[in-house]
Amino acid sequence: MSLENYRQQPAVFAAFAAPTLIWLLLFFIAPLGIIWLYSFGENVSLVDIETTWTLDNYARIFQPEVLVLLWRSLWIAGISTLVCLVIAYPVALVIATAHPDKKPWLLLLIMLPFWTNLLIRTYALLNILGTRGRLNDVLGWLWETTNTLLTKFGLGEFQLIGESFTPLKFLGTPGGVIFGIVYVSLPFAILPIYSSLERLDKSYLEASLDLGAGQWRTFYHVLLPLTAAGVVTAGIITFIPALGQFLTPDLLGRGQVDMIANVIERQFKRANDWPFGSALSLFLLYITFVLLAVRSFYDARKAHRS
Amino acid sequence: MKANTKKPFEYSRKWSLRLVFLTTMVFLYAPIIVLVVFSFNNSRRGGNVIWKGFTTKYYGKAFANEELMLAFANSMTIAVTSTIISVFLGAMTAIFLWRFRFPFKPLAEGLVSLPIIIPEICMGVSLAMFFSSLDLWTSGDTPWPFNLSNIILAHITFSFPFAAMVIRTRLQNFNREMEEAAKDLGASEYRVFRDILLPHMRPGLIAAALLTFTLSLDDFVITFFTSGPNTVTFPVKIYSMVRFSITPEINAASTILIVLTLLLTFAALRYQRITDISNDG
Amino acid sequence: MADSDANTIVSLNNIGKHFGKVKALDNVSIDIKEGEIFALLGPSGCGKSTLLRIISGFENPTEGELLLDGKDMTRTAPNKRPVNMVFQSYAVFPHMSVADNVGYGLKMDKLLVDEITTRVDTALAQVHLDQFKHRMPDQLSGGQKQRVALARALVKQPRVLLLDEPLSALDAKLRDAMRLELVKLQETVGVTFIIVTHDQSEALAMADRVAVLEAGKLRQVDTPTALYNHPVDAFVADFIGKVHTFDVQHIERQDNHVRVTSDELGELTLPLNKLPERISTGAQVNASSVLAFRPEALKVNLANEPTASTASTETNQANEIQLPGFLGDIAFQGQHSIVEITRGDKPSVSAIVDHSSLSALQTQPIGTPIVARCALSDLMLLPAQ
Ligand SMILES: Nc1ncnc2c1ncn2[C@@H]1O[C@H](COP(=O)(O)OP(=O)(O)O)[C@@H](O)[C@H]1O
Ligand SMILES: [Mg+2]
Repeated sequence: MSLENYRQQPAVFAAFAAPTLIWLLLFFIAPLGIIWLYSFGENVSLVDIETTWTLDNYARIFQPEVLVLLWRSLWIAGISTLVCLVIAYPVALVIATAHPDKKPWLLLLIMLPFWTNLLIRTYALLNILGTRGRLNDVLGWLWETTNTLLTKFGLGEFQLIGESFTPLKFLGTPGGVIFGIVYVSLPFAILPIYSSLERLDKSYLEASLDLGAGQWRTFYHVLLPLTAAGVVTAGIITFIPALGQFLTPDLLGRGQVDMIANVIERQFKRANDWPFGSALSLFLLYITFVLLAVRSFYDARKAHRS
Repeated sequence: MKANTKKPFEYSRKWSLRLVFLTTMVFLYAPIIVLVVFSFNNSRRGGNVIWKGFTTKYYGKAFANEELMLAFANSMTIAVTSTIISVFLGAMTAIFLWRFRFPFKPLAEGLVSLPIIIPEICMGVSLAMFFSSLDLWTSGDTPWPFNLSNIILAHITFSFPFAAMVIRTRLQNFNREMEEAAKDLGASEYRVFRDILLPHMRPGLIAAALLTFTLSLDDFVITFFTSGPNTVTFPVKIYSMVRFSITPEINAASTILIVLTLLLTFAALRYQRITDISNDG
Repeated sequence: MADSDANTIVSLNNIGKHFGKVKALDNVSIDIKEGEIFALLGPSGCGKSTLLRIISGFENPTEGELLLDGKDMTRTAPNKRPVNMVFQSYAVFPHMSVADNVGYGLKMDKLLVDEITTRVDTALAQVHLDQFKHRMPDQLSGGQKQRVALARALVKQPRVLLLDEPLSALDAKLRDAMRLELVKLQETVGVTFIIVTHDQSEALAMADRVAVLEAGKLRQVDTPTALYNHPVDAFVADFIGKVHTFDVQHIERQDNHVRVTSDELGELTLPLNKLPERISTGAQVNASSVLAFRPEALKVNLANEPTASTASTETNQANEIQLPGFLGDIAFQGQHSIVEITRGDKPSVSAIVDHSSLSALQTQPIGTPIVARCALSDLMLLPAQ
């Protein structure tokens, strides 16, 4: 049945729509409006900000220190997203082609950690990634095993994998931060790819396999192009929160791998430079909008073609 | 679309893909399991390095930590209040978006989903500035629980769009003939709403409530910005403990929250199929 | 059963309905009599449901008026009309028991609990669901859900019961049983039934009168026999049962008959009084028309059998036409059989033949020359559209 025109029942429509719209206006648009005003302002005293329509705060974004920070945020988020996609695709493929009865449970397995508090998940990694943490334990064990095997084959004296195992340093390095971001955002990447695989007309694949193409060639020439939209969505949906990550660089980066959000936080909590913090927040928001626009452009072009 | 059950693609049978899946599961779960296991570690300092025997004393310590327990009470109060209001607001949103055709509808839909999309830090910062510039900061001597109102407002703002999404999905498969049948039998608009639409929405309302409750409990970033020195929530408290020093007590506190989330998730599963959730992604 | 001089209970006067640019109904006028089963018949999308929804109040007509019991109810709210509806999906409330579903309308009328209980029990007995009173809808079959919907509407004692495609969701066997049961139920309760259907056999079997709609326009309102024997145009003839049509090149009206020229059937003279109004009044004479007959009007003989005339001429000047052809497939149907007559590159025709005539044909090989004959009195001259 079709939708009702709001003019048929204006009172009912208003009664249902007004609370939402007022709420969003008051607690979403107005706050964004305030930092928008602040981003054109100057500190006149410790707590007072005057909107002078200066562009200084935006100009500061393009200073070398900040550009270095932006660049680091972009590449860390970018690499994290790529790693997520590379892991997510096969995982989604396994779920999408699993027996229908098993599917919901496999999905639940993916979602469950995602429902756990972000702080706790990050803290859990803190325990794993230390120099004496569990990950280094595992790596050390792998080294030992390989070394023993090599010795057995009479290759012990060449020390092909080093004299002894040196624990790797994750905390305070970009590697650790990327590990953390991948850990907390993997479900974001898996779900869109999974749903694009679900929606796929499976006869294309059958046709391809039928025509003698191998599984890998089918994957490359048929499956991947057909699910490209899902991969793009997954990429964007992973990249946006990754770019704005605060906790991971804060706890795992130990202040040595700051990203945008950490600098924003510092402007508000310590440096007390609200105008610059506001400009940086809005800049992050604009990047988000650009990415969403890219996605809808991609969707529109796809819709236009078909 | 349903999967082709007769001719499943061999991908899920390939051992290499299975290995990737298994490794991913280990990657996702191992850190959490280690955290839970080490909450029982009988070691005072750096409790996550060496296993020194089993103890539950850190749970006792966590429960005896008054600040932590106040933070827990705060978190619960915030979660309950924001859930009630979010579900109410989300239901209204879902109904008007589902029911009516009106000018600028895509704009309204976009606006409603914006809080879901924008980076948390932007929302946290803007709400913090909003409260401070309007002098709405709850001061140190506001009586409990009114000193939590800023955080509650913030939580409602980011969680009611999720509630609206879940409830709208439920409304989407409402058969409008039900509504007409009730009217045909003499029911007024109000009776149709009360007797027919509301009972249909109920599973959606429950699922939305469980989801928003979890979201509220889980949030760190936005709460971190909108909380004052006297209004600390459980995650914010754990954060300050982590920054101070790492002890098994933190593991114990975290485990409590993990168990709570698990219980809520399983309760949610009774009302919503997991596939529905995945389709929203 | 309706008698011919019963009161008009529903009066549709010049109803029109637009959905934006779509014209769902165009100037439809029908009078429905008290106590009859009235069917709205037509192909999918012709506007039947829209017409029903106008009577129930879920749509407002763009033009025209609706009288219920003589009162103008064109814009009365659905919950204020003395009509009730059985929906296509049945719309049984899933969270209420069978008894609560049936009692819902009475509760809305604020009746006392005791009265509700007795009336619900009576209504459930009428549809043979007394045993299922406390069941929930998900424990019922499709047919049982439909009975709940029927009882729920009838318990309100409406002046008119509206049924939208009531049998379409049932499986074939249940459908036939339910046809009979609906007719019996209507006889018991005496309420006027208006039934929407796209299935002509359903309409013919159940209804006292049928309205045939096509693309939002009313084609004909009549009893099933009149529709079958005297369709007003080729659309109705084709929609109600099977019909073979032949193009007509020329029509010439004379005093009390018309002369018709057809390439295939030759020149024929048909009496005026047997023709549809649009032709007999001359309104259609210059527009395109067709000659038509139904398969059961054909009689089939072997070509060499002695008959009134030889097979060489196609048209007999006396009182019948002849179509020479060859024996095709024979489909056994129980009481009768359907014989296909192939005619080279012309479209083949089929005849319905009883057992006695069949025996002569059955022994012949396919391709045997035969002749099909149709009495002039069985021939219909119809406007093509
Ligand atoms: N609510 C509506 N909005 C727009 N068009 C409609 C609506 N309802 C029906 N129509 C159109 O009106 C025509 C008649 O529909 P309907 O009465 O449902 O046909 P039927 O029941 O005979 O199959 C169709 O072309 C249909 O698409
Ligand atoms: Mg219909």
